[in-house]
Amino acid sequence: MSDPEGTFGSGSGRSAQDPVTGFFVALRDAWLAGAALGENLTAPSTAGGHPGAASPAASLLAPMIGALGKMADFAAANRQRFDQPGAGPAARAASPGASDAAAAADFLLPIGHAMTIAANRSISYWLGLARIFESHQAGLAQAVGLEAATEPGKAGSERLVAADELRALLREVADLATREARLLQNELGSLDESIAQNFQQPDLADSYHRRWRSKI
Amino acid sequence: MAQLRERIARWIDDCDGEMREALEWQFLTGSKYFRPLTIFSCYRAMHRGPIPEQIMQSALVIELFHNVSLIVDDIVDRSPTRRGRATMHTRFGELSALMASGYIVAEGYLQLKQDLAGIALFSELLKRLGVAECMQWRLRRQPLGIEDWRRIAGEDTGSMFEICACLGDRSGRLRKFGGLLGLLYHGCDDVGDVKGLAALGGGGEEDLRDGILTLPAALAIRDPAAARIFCDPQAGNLAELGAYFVAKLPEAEAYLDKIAQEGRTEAQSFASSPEPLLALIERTRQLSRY
Repeated sequence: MSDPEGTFGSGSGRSAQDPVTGFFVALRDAWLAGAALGENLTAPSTAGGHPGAASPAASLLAPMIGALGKMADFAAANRQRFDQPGAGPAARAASPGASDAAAAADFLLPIGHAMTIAANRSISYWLGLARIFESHQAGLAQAVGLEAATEPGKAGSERLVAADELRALLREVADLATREARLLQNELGSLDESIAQNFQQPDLADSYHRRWRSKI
Repeated sequence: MAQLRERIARWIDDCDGEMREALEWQFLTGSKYFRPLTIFSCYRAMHRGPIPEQIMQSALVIELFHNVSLIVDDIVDRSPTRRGRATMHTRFGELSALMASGYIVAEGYLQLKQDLAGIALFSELLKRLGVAECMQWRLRRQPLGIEDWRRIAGEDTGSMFEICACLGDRSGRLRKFGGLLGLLYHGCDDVGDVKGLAALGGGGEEDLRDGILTLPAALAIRDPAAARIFCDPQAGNLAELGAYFVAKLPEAEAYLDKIAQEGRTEAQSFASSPEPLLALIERTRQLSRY
C-alpha cells in the first residue's frame, strides 16, 4: 500500500485527464485512502504480531484498487473515443470499423458506476449504524448499570425494559442491513436495466425489441 | 372506490340466496375500504395508467377476506356490536356466521381466477392471520414489551397490509412499507381504543378484559404495579389498569410518530412516486387523533 503508483496502475498524476479517466482515478484514490485508514487503525496489532503480513484492509482492497488503476489507464488510452458524441454501442454496431478496445470501454463506465453505488451504500450503512448506536446509547448505558442501582422489587421489571431496549437495537441493526441491501439491489437493478437498453440492437423491427425488465 | 362498491354488490347478487341476507348485512354498510385503498395506492406508487382488472379483483378479494377476519374476531371476542350495529353472529347466529366465513373464502379464491401470484399472496395472508391470532391469545396476560407488541401486531394487522402492498405493486418492493403501515394502523387502533373512540370500531374493553398486549399496555406494564393487574385481573380492577394505559397515551403517540416516520422513509426509498403512500401514512396516523 506504500507505493500505489507502481503497484496499482499509473493513472494518478497524469496531466490533462479526461473526465472518464479522472473518474476512475478519483475512485481508486478514494479506495486507497480508505485502505490507508484501515492500515493505520490496525497498525498496533499487526506490527506486534506479524511484522511482514499485509493488513486485512490492504488484502481486501488491493484487487479493487488494482482494477481501478487498470481501468483509469484503459480509459486514458481510449479518451479520443469518449470525446466523440453519440458514439454508443448501438451506433458502433452499425459501424464495421470500430475497434475491440473501444467496445470494451463501454463496460468501464457502468463498472465505475456500480462501484460508486456499492461504496455509497457501504457508507450509508456505517452512518446508519452509528446513528442507531447513538440513539440507543443512553438506554444501554442505563441497562448496564442497572443491577447495582435498582431496588429488589423493581429489578425484574427494569430488566425487562432493558431487554426490550436491547431487542429494539438488534431489530434496528438487522432492518438497516436488509434495507441497505434492498437499496443496493434496486440501484444495481436500474443500472443493469440501462446497460441492457443501451446494448439493444438498433436494427431490429419493433416487434422484436425487448419488452421485459431484467432482474438481478 | 365506487367501482369496488358496485363489484361487491354484484358479487352478493350472484351468491346463493341462503347466504345473501347475511352477506348484505356484513358488506353493504360502513366499510372504510382502507385495505383496497392501500392496494390502489401501492399500484399508483409504482405504475402509471388506470387500475387494471387484476388489481380491482385483488381489491375485491382483500375486502372479502378482511370481513372473514372480522366475523371470526367478533365470534371469538363475543362482540355483540361492531360500528354501532349487531355483528353477524348476533344477528344470524354462530352457525350462519361460521358458514358464511367459509363461503366467502371459497368465493374469494374463485374471484382470483388465473391470478396465481395473487392466490399465493392470499394463502400467505390466511396462514399468517391464523398464526397471529393463536400467538396473540397464547401471549395474553404476560409482562411483555414493545418488541413483542411489534411482533404480534406485525403478524396480525401488519401481514394484512403487507399483502395489500404486494398485491398492489406486484414486485415485492413495497412489502416492508405495507408491514409498517399495518403496524401503524394496529397501534392507532390500540391508542384509539384507550381513548374510547368509536372511529375504529371499538373493542378496547375486550382487549383490557382478555389481557391482550396493545401498545399502551406494553408501555404501561413497564410499571410493576400495572403489570401485576395486567397479568392477574383479580389483583386489581380493570378501571385502575385502564388509568395506567391512559397515562401512557402521550408515549404511545410518540412511538406511533416514530413508526410513521419509518413508513415515510421506506416509501421515499422504494416507490417510484411515493405521494400516494405518504398520504396513506398521514391518513392512518390521524386515526388515533380524533
